[in-house]
Amino acid sequence: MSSKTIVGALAVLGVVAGALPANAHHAFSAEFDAAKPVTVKGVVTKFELVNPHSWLYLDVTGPDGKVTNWGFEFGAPFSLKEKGVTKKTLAVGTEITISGYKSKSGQNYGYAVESTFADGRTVKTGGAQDAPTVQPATN
Amino acid sequence: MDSNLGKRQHAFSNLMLSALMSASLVSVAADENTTSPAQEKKPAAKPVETAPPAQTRRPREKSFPTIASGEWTGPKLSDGQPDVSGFWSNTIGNHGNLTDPQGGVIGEARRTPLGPRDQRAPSRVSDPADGQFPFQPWALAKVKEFQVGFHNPTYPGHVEPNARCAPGGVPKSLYWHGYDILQYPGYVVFVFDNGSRIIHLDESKPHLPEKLKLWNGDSRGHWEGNTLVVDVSNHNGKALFGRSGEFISENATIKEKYIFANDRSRYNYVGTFTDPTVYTRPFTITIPAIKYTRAEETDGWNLEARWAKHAGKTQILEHDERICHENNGGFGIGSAQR
Amino acid sequence: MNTAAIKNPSWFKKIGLTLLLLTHVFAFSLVTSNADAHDATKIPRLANGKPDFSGIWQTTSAADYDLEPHSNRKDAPPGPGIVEGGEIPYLPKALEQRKKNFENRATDDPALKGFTLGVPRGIYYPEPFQIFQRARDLNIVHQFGHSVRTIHTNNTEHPEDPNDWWLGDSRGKWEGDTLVVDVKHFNDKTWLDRSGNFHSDALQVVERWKFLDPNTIEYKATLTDAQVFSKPWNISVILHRHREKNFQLIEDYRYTLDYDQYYPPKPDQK
Repeated sequence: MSSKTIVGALAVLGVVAGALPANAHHAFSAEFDAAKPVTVKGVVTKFELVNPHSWLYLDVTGPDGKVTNWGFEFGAPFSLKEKGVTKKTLAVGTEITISGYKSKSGQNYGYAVESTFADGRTVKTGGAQDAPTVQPATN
Repeated sequence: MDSNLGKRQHAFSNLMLSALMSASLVSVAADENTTSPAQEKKPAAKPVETAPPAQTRRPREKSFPTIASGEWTGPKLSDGQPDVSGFWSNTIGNHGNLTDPQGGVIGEARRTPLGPRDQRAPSRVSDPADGQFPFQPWALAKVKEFQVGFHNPTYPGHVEPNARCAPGGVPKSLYWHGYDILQYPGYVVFVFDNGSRIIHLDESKPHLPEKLKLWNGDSRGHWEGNTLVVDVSNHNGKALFGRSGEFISENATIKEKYIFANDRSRYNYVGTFTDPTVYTRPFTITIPAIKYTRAEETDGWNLEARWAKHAGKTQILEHDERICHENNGGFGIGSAQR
Repeated sequence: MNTAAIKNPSWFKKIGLTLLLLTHVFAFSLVTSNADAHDATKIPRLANGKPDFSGIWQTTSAADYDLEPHSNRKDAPPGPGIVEGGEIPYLPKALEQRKKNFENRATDDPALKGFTLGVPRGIYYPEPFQIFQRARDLNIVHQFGHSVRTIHTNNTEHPEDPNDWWLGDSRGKWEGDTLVVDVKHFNDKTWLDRSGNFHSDALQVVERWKFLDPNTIEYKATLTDAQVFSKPWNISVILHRHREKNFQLIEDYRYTLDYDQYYPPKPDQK
């Protein structure tokens, strides 16, 4: 059995190698609202690589031309680096699209499930195991 | 490449076997790594940097050797202490479930049913023999409440303290993330991802006044051959034991033995907890641990270290700072404080 | 015999002189070793000869109230500050931020949230810290927040792929008996004192640690931050060893105080 077949079988079973809760820092449902998916596209203003959750800030231009700054929670620096997400790949001025869930506080904060770069590359940047795994609908 | 593939096949079939038997899937890796294989199924996703190969990650243990207390024949430090400094981590799993550490969080929906109990690691409780905490009825009721409330907490006391970056306390710190053991004349220092413990080896120093209650307690210890014997007082019990909700009160006393193998590869923690306000009798928790010596084994949980950058030839392992400041302050919304 | 009689005195003389010499040597060695034991000027050293800063230290300086010269306030005594040359050389825009911080210090000081104090504030904050030192590193455990900072003294360099650390990354080298530490790769979430002096994530701190005597350390730091200050500036404080009998750190977590009353469960609790 090739490893690809095994991997495929695991994926079909919904069982993935080494899944679920290693990082227990998080309480997704205490902070973010699984009923409020959000997608924003903007330009990076700040990227903080901090344990256990990094934060990305970006300027988002609305249809009315108004610019608001959004903050999104990312995963731990270690796991981001494993996926090639570093300070260089998210340097100030980088274009990025983030889809995730809004903060319960009502402010412009969210939890980033997935980030898409200008070259089309998509990275799962979320760090919470108790976050919904279903892709949020794009708005 | 072939040998890598062969190893990966072996590792994957092992993982599949254990995954099928216990769907709890307690992880050695950060969650994102798990999605890498799944992403292979999505045609749209471009390849991203994949997780380190599975063979560099140590599999979770289902059983572990007893280590007898006795003579120390390994290297010693200048003050006579056995030299056990380094990066260590527990081998069985995290704080999800104390009595069935690889059985998944209680009340969490399963993707696959649990297999036979004896195919998973034993309870953290090594005494009493049935592996259950000898709770008084009121305490057991509180534990059951926590096991329900944990999944959607409305009561502040049902938020697992780790989610607030609170210190891990005793003994949870030892099955949380990997940690440093550092030794100095007169001290053994444990540095955890959340909190530190300073073990004073001068036992003539009295414990702190009883009124002072600390997340990681106040510790006095000494070496007996290969065993570090520690007496813990002033422990506030607030960290709880994990997501299954077990706990001790601030009235508990803890006697610990850290029993090291002479080759320094492993040690077993054997801690006896006495708390007449919560339990009907003392109980013992046993936690196996292994030493990590290679940066390649970094997995974001058991080890989060790198090879130091330097001009020399020897490889030096070093760890990032261990500080967590999130969701601090009152119950709830960390992001609201930003 | 006359020869013997003549020889005897010189032989005795030699023996006598030798004995006298030996006695002096012995007495001198006694005196010296006693002097070593009581020599208040001999600083402690590691086996490798480097000064050993291990111990529990704290400053008596009032620097944490305000690094700059200031009159008294309701929340601070008056002080000349500890900034060499007087005031911190803020860039104009940063000075605006500093003023804002000052006005909101009663709520915005990160130390009020129990956040780690950062560098160098943890050194002059009015709570003790313990230095654990080995050949390869110093580990500083701060009582406040029980934060741990590692100063690597093993000829290693800052990492290639740093994070934005609360306490930066510290690499130390010895210049004689002075430990010179380069600290950088910070985040911007800590303040430099209670009055709102602050920094960005571009902060770099160069520290100099030196014994003045076995129980006193002179601590100096040069702060550079191109986003906040127009040029580097220096501070200095004196650290004193805690010598009270059985003195020890007591972990001091502030950020748990808002919720810790809910743990662990109690029989009479709802």
